Amino acid sequence: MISRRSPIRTIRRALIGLPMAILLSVFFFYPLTDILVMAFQPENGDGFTLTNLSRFTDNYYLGVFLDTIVISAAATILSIILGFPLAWHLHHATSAHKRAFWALVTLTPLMLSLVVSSFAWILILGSNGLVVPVIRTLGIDVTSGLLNSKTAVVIVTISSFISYMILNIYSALQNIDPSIVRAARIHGASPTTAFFRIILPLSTPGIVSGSAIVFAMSMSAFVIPFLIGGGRVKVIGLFVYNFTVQLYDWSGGAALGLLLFLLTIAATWAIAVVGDRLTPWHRRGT
Amino acid sequence: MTQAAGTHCRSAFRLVGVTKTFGDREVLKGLDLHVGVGEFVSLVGPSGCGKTMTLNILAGFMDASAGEVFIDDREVTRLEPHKRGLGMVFQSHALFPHMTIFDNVGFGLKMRSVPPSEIASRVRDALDMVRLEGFEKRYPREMSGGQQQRVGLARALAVRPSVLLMDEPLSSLDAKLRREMQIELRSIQRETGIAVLYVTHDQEEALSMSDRVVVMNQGRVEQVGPPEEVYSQPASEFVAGFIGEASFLAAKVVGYGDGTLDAVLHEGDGRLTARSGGGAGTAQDIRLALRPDRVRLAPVSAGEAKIVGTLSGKSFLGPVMRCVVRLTSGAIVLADLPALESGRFDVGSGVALDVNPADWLVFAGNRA
Repeated sequence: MISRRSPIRTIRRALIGLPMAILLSVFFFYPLTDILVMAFQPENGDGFTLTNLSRFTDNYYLGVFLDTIVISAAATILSIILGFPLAWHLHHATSAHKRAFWALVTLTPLMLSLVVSSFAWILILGSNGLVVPVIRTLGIDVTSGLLNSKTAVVIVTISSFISYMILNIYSALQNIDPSIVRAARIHGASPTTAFFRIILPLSTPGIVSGSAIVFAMSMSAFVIPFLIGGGRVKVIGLFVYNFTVQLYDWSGGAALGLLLFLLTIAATWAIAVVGDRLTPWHRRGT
Repeated sequence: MTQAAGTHCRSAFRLVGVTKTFGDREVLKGLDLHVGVGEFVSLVGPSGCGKTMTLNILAGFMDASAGEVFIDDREVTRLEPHKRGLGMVFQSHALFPHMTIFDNVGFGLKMRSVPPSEIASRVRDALDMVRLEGFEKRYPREMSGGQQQRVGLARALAVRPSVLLMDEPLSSLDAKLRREMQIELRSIQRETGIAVLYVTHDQEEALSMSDRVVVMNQGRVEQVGPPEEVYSQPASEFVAGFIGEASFLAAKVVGYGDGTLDAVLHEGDGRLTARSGGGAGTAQDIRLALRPDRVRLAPVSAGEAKIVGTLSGKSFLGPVMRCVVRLTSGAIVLADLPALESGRFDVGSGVALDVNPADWLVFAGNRA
């Protein structure tokens, strides 16, 4: 459609976005530009260099990048698997009370400070915590406890960010016309078939957007790997912190931060592309 | 048993004493309905009368609290929806948005493990039938509302069900398209010989399409019969008011003659002669219903025992002029006159009602 809005209306519409634009440009884009510049400057502050970036291309750092991606991907995939049933439950809550209760359960992780919930997890996963004795009775050797491992970081990451997954899937489920499911049932689909052929494909947009959020947040996570990983789990977020706060190497921190930022954008874009492939019916048409 | 049911000996489906209760509230009260093979039956009634619930119980989306459901003489009361072999068309079209038109129409066949080559030919047949050849590769959102509804119909037809359920299938379409679709639907139904249970709140649609009409009210069947019968011989005051238009008057019977009764309208509106018998029996207090197209107006002349009132308004309806006559008690009678004839009467002038005794619909009534 050709837009024939009057210029005044266009300006008015633009004005609505102005406060946010100012906020973003002052408090986000400006420091971001600063970091961008810093990443390409030698440590003495003048000129242009790529050495800040190139020092992170060795095998050690590639391993850290890989670990970060693996932890984030695992947390994302497990969030889908664990989050879907919860979203389903929320979607099928019959009374307002039940829905409110499950919504509260879903949102609780978002209301807690990451630091507080991480310490709670330390108590749970530590060698004297709730979980370790149980695992020991099963005959599995966990002398050192579950903390300070990638597994622990993944578990806590899931518990902290799964709410975003649940809410996104829930809203996708809410958007499915119940008659569509009935149409599948009456024309011969069992409940299981209807789920896999109708409900699951139609909730893909929610899964995709939830995945993008959980993945991006896991990639940039710092508090969880710091407290739960105990220095043994190495992710990029931790190194950015180490470079800036401990080593006072701001150029290194900036370069690493920039690489993490680019990687996260690329991954999110990839998720969006995959999501687009999975939902061809959204793409076509008018 | 009504006459139409008798002509269809083999049953497409039967509801026997179907009752639905929520807590202590009975929303469907012992519903009996027998629909023959190839019959087109409409369920009509005001919202909340239980017509959609009846459809859902037949479909298996909802369990009956009591009673039995048979499809093709097979008891299916507790059978899951996907095992009932039905087809259904929904008000919201309910196409699968993530599937092409081909996959939508072929869905039921795929569920029945029909071989792909046969699916292809049956999908083509179904799309031919609804005149949508060549749309196989499109997605539902790329089609108009009317086209989407035809795809919905094709999807239901493709499984060749013995009963097709339709839940207000045309109510989301505009008036012109709706009329076209009514005719098309009816001819497809005749061609395929599939029994249809058609739920609608539009009584005109029900009258124009159905072999039989089931009028429901408050969880009960008020009347079942061919459209002409339901219209001309309504079994209750409710049916008279719901199917077609009618003006209602209260009267007291003053005498019975040979197949007729004489009655006096309340509050001195006049007296009349009507055919006796029918729904009223020998009640003293009666309610009278009058179709607007059965009323003629006459100039007021002294001495005649006609019902007299004032013409309080006229509105042009196209083929006829609707005249509103206010009787002395304040009761309103509607009369549809040919436009030319209505010119003889001015708004505000006195008019007399001229009604054939056979055209009064008489009901027993205590409601004053």
